Amino acid sequence: MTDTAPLVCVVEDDPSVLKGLERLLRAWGYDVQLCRSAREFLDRAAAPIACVVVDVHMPGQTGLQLQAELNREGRRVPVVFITGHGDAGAQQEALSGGAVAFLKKPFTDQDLLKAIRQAIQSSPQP
Amino acid sequence: MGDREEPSDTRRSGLHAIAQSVRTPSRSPETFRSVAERDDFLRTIGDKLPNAFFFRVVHDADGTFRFTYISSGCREVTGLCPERLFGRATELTDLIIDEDRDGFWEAMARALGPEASLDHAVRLRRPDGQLRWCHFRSAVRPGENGSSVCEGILLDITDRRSVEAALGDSTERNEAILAALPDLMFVMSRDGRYLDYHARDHQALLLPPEAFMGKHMSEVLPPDLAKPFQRSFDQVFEAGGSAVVDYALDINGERRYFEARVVRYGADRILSIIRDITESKRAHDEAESNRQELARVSRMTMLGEIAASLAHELNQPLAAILNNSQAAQRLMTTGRAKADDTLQILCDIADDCQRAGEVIWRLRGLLSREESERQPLSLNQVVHDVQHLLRSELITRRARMTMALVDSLPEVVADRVQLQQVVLNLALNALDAMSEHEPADRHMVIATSRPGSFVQVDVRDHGPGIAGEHIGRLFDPFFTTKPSGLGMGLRICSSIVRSHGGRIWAANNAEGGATFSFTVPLPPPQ
Repeated sequence: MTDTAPLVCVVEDDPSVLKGLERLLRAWGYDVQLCRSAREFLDRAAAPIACVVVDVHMPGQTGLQLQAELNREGRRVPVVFITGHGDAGAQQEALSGGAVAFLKKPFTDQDLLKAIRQAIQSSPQP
Repeated sequence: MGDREEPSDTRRSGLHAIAQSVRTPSRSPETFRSVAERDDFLRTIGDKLPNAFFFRVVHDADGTFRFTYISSGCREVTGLCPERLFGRATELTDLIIDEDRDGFWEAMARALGPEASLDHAVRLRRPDGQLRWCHFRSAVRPGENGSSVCEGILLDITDRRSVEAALGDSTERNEAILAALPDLMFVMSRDGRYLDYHARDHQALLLPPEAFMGKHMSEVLPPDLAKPFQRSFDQVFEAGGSAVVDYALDINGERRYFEARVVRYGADRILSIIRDITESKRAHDEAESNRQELARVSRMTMLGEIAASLAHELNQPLAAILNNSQAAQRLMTTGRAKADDTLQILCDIADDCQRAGEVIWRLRGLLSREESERQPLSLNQVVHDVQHLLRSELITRRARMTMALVDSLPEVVADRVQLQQVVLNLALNALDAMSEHEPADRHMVIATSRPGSFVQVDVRDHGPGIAGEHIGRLFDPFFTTKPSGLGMGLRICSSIVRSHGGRIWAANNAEGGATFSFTVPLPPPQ
């Protein structure tokens, strides 16, 4: 961890989950940006992001569609997927698309932190 | 009086003969001042006699018959005017139908012989075609020159015969019904005393007749049964109509069920018809149990289809709870926990626990094996329940669902789980129907309304609609248009709705897509 806390962006449509993740990540010293949808993330993501934690199933654009769009645009943001569905197909697609991890809810803080650390390590240095 | 002007002495002799046959106990010689007055009196009677006429016919020594008197009722009874009969007496006997003619002449021969009276009924075919039953009643006495004089009355007894025939039919029918009925029948006094009974099988009485006949039912029936019977007796005497008493008896270690129908019988009696409904009740209970089991299996299958979404609904609050609690742990172990923040975290955890509990509660109802229960509920709430169940499924299927619910929808008495099943089934069908459309076009509307004495739910989709050849078969068992469907979903929906007294149907929308609708009746006003 550097002096400046890495910025982790969480994209999740469920407000409760979003708030819980914000608290958890801040408790572990991360700076956190919250987005309620993939569209909001794409519109807002100007700051250098160390990692994006994305829910797979969201109304409108899904997490997988967001990943595909980032890949299409050449934006190399490490992605950690989180999902409440045990969807093996989605996991396969996510990992094939370059996702760092695919976490199934409910996951522990250690699982999440491990995935985020891994993501940050894989993140291209600014 | 007679339609023919005859010499007054002839007429008088005819009337005289009739006078002999009319019994008037109050008559005394002083009643009439003259024979003419008496004749007028008798003529008036003859003319006014309904459905009958008097006659006097002479049977001459050469074998011919000739009427010498006929009262005016002849035309009404036979359809012949008296003049014709005066000219030719056989005009009357020619009306006798073939089947009765021989019998008539045999009776007439006996009357002209030793019996000296004619008492015989025949059927006459009147000139207008009407068939009438007529009864000849007359006395025969010797006349002049070897003739015989037959004097009497011909009565039209058609109406009486009809009544007798109907009564005979009715009696025979009643006897046949009684013989065929498996039911026990008891005639009882209003206060509950056994007066009479009918039993095709005396063993069904359970007691010998002498053990109950003449006794009060409180001496015969178990106390908890005599009371409802007495109440039903009071009810039919006060309000009329019939009353039904359902009860069960343990007979030789077996529980048997009976239905008694109680009606008022005459001024102060009760007819109680008792039927053993054990077999039909068992069949009904078994069918109902099968129906409920089928519905439950269908619910399980349906929930299985959306299991991933339901798991998601549960995993979301669980994830939030875990994240929040581990955040609090981290803050506390690093000494950064602030009371306000910790309190807020605990409140959020409590909310998410509640949210998870609601998901489980909804599922528990749908998965329960317990007997269904009907209670007052709003169909708006049922639609909301289904909306919660489908929240994740809608996201997964990238479809939208909007609700158009009328405010203040009156409550119906219904089984919440079963109606949730119907709405859920219709909603999932709607989603299936729209699966080939672009996500933006996958839009379903669930609406409620109150047409007349019903509450209605409409599930409207924007799919391709229903093919014309399918629309009449949608609710048939095993009919499906889905590659992997069993074809029981809509059938079960139909069964559930009908068991609630409602109706279910489907129609294509003018703007495309289809609408499935069902109704549930409002409870009767108190």
